[in-house]
Amino acid sequence: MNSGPMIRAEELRKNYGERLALDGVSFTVNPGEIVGLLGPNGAGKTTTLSILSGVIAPDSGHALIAGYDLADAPRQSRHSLGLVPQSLALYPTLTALENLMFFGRMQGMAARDALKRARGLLEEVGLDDRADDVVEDFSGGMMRRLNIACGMMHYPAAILLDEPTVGVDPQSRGRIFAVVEAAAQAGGAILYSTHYMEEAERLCNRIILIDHGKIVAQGTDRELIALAGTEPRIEITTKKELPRGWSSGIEGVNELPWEVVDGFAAALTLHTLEQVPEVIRRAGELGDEVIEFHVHRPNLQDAFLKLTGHALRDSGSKTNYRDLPR
Amino acid sequence: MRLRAVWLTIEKEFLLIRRDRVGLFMLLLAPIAVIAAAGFSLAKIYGGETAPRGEYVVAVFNEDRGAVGQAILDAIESQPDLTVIHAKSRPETEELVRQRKLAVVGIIIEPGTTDAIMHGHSAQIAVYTDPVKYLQTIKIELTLSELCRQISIGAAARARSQTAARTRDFTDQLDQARDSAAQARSEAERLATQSDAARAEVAPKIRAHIESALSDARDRTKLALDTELDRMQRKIDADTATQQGKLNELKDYLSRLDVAHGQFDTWFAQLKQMAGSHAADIPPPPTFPTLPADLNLGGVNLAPVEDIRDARSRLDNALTIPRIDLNLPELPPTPKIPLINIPEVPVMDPSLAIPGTLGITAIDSTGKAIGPIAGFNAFDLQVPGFAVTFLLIGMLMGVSLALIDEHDWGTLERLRSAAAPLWTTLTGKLLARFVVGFIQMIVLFAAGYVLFGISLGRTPAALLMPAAAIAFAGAAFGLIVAGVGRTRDAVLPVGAIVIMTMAAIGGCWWPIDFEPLWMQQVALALPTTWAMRAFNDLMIRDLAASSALIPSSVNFGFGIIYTVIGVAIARRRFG
Repeated sequence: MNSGPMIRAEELRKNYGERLALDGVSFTVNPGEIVGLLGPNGAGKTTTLSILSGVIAPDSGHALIAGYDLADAPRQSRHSLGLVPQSLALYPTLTALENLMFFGRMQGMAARDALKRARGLLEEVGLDDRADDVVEDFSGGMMRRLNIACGMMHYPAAILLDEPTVGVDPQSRGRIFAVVEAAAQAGGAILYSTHYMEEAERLCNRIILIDHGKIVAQGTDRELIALAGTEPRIEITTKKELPRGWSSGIEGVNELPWEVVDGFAAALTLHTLEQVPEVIRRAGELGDEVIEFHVHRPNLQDAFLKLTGHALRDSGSKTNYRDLPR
Repeated sequence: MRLRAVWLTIEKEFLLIRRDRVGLFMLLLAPIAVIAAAGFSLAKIYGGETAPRGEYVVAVFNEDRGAVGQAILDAIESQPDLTVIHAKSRPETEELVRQRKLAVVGIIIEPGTTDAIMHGHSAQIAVYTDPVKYLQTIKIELTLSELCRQISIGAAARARSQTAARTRDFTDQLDQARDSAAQARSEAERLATQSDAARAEVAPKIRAHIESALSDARDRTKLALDTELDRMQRKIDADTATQQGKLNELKDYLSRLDVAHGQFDTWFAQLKQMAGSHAADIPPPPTFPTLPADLNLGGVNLAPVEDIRDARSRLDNALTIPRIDLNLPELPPTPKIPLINIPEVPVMDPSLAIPGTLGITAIDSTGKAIGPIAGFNAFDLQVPGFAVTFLLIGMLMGVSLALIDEHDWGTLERLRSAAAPLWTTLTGKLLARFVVGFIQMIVLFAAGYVLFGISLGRTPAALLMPAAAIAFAGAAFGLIVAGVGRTRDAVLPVGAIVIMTMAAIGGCWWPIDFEPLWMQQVALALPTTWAMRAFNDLMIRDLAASSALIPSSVNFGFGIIYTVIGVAIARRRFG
């Protein structure tokens, strides 16, 4: 067994036609470590995971799993690899157990071992009572849990999870986290791709911020958040769009680039929390009505914003981003 | 390891198929339903025996009322396909077809049909048709034509039979006449021979008898003559002797007178000479008269006696005929009996006596005549045709859409991240779908055999060959479609159009010979064409199993080409 990093990316580059998807991405993930790959959609997370899982080949650079280069030793490297793709890579008309058995056996497991492991994983993800139900009858969260279990069937040393919690309910999310943490505790090296800042903060030992195919920063959540400063932040949603410079006159407040498609919102850094009432009052006057506001301490989102100049948000839901002049 | 991945993929595919009720329906029940619908609907076209009894309703009005008209009516009623409505008039017949639409065709058996037929004339059956029901009309028209033909054939056969019988009687009579003539001639010849023999025997006897009679008559005549002549001779001799004495005296006187005459002449000459100059004055002496010639001087005239002697001598000579060679005239020959030349009567060929009827007989694959062209069971075409069609649809769903689904679900990505290269997934899927397609064909053929009575040909096992070939080609073609189509929504209509076109042009839904020649040539580039060629050869044409070798090989070739192209496209699409 390789004693070094289970996952190693070395100067990975990938172009899709004219578009540069990855631009010299390098990082490692050690056994027992959960590393978050955090970035907005299109940042290069899925391309990175696709290269590391051997689904696509990089234009240059190397991807190593358990010390084996995917290009040189695909069988050994893939045998140590467990992929949990963003899509629900399941056969809808097979049962949960049949899905697990199939993927386990495809990884070389004997039928008896696969059955034992499948039963264990189903219990772990809370689906043991649905083992013989066909997957198409499952809820989204149950499918996500089963999706993760399939990727872990063969005790992989390196696990790649691509947005594993998209669209899941809190209960399933908690189950997923538990499974991931258990896998890490069992010595697995986990690369966890997400654009959910909270997940990365909650789950990951280390976070890699990626944007436009480049790693903009990596470190622990505290290290990265520190890059964003210490000022509290407020996000306000109003009935009408706030005019540019609406917060001028409030001392120590800085307007951040921020836009929400459905509704009108703004974000500010505050000098102190005492400025919150005044900011809300001004926003209410100029934006007709404040629909909601959120005050928080700096987080990874702020760090990302600080580092890239644009926000890190879930573009898969209702939000969109644009670069605003500072 | 990789073969294991292939095997596991096959297992998984079978599990997916088992759970896919819609897919199973499309694989098995849908084709059977479509086959049943198409087969029963199109049975009329192909002339098979799958149409229900009494399928076609015809209205018949028999205006002839003769024996032939009744025979036609009976024949129409006996047709299993036909249900007969007896119309009461010509207008009602037309109304039943064109207004009330209760009958497909109205048939009028024209008055005088029997009379015409009986007298060797042609007759027509009038028919009212509904142009909309063209196919049914054609079918009924064919049936009627066949009926007319059968009736004509029957009549001709009867006439031919009668002619043959009469010819035989005539020939027999001629033979008898010939025998009698020959017998008579023989008898005449025998009599002639007897006559010749008898004549040859009698002629010498007659001659001898005549000669004897003649000889006897001659002898008696001679005796009588001799007696008479002797008597006459003796009398004449006596008379002659008397007269001869007198004649001798006269003859002596005359001799002396003749001497005195000479002496007087001499004296007178001397007197004249002595008278000198006066001689002239001497008057002429008197003339001595001559004795008359008929002066009967008795024996002086001896000539008749001599004549009698000469006559007797001549008679003797005449009666002394050495031998009468009786040359009887030949009897006229026995008249020759002329040879009665009774011409040989050739054995009458009935087909020459009455013009024969021209019919059609189909020859089966063994070279045996099997009677009229019988058409075929429509299901013999529809079962393989729709089996192939739904096989391809199954491949579209099972290979093309399934690959796109696997791509969209992410299972393909997951499998590729495992130690299972793309080719193992493709191979497993193709093999599984090939087996499923092959089983699908077998099940559909078995269902066709049980439910629709299709022919499985001489060697049912031979059907497995083209079935396997089209299953292989179809699965590989599905791979190409999967690689070309970007999404399920793109593949489904395009794939369906391509498959339907391939099936239609390839002769899966109708005999390829319905198509124009250029389309048939285009069809050679399609596996459906070759599959149907093999199935038609084995099931309808009833050819030997070897007939399926070439089309099946072509389809295996298509399968190989499709696989190479499909894998190349799929690797670029999914790799």
